[in-house]
Amino acid sequence: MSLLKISLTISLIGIFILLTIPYIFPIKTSTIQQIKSYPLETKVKLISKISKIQETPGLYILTLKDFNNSIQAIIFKEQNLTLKEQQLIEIHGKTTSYQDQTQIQVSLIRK
Amino acid sequence: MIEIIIAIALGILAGTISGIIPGVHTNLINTLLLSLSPLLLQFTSPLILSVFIISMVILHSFMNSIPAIYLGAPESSDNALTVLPGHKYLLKKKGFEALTLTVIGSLLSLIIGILLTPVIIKILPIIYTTIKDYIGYLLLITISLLILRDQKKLIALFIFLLAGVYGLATLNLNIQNPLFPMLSSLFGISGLLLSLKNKTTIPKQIITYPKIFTKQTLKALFSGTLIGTFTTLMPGLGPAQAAIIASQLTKLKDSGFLILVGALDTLAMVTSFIAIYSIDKARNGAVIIIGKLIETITLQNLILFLTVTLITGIIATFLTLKLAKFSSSLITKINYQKLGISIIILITIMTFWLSSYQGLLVLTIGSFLGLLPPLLGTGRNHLMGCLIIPTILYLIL
Repeated sequence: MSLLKISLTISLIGIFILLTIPYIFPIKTSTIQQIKSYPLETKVKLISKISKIQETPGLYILTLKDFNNSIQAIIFKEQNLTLKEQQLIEIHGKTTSYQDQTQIQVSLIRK
Repeated sequence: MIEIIIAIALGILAGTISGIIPGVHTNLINTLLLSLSPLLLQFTSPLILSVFIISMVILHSFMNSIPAIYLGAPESSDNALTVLPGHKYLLKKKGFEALTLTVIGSLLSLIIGILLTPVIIKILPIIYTTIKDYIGYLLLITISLLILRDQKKLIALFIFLLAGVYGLATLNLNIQNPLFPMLSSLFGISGLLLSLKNKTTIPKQIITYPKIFTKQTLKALFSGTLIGTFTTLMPGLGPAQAAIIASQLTKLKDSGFLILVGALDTLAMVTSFIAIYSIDKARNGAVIIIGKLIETITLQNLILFLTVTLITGIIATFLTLKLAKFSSSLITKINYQKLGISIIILITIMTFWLSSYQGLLVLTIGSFLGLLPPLLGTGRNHLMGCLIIPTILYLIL
């Protein structure tokens, strides 16, 4: 079998496997307490209420609360934010850290 | 003042180390720095910490061409395209010349970027609001032209789409640092595997200097500044996408392309400082962290940041050329076959460290995918579909 055929076969099968992985191991909804225990750069999903909205250069910062815990979620200023305090939202993103506190860098928001 | 000088010196040291080690992206150091910021801020101010970050990222943007050209190992999308023409130069005994071209691009674009700052501050908000909704379509047209200009159009399209699906699948995985295994395999390991298969040897390098003031330099700098200023300000677009757009607008030879990639990589830093001041948009990891450290970025802050950028850029030019000369003499003393295998092992270890098991899967698949363009007789630049298709989908959908 030529190198071309091997490369093509592995590429096609491999890409198919990569595509199926998120369906086999989907990201589960986590609580804020669980998210704080995850390592940095972990993809997370959270359903929570917005308790505060702040603005800094280039970013919006949401403070989210569930049960007795809170966490900050950062959003890049690409569009005008249409969220309100006390609104329930679902966010997808990855964990980051700022001043020793876990934050979520948001990639998707569902209202 | 003395604190600023110390911060610049430490930034230069950190940027040199992060730049020459394959796989160490400035964002990795920035993240560590941000975690340590409560401790560091007990000894210094947010402004001094920002100066350190700026000095480090600028040095890094000069230095990262060394592993890309001499080892064929890009550390991010920003300089992945440097590998291809850079390696050609290396095989023609002119690795140092290739590196000098990227350094020329970096330094001149930095100076041009700083000189144009007052103009960019004025026009950026207008241009940003005018074109931001159409940038995805613009990218789509550019890519169509890129594929149509290839002699093997269908194969080029196939590679581009396959790389795009691979990119989407990789970026959708729950792994850390997905870009490292993806780009190291497509542009690094695949090239090294072919070199090992063909028993490539690196010829003794000769130190030659390119002509600086040529049409190629002017074309590369003009298109780089024009496209780089605007595309690096758009969400999802970075120096790699800007390089593809700019190279389509002006026909560039390898020398011009190396200047262009060097220019775009450094210019992206300058324009991102202007962007956070002028349109309140954070466009890269370093600027996001500076935005977190300093609550309001004033004109005085911007002037300080640009001054630090210029000072670091000048030091980086000499430092990078010095290290490149050393690399040119060292590379031929090493058995390239053994070096190639060592680099593949190093990239594999780094991938496991940065992205765990799923990263290794991405690395393996990308290494075979990266072999397809040379085996099918088309350009490896179509592999940039791995980033461009997700970007187009992000911008259009």
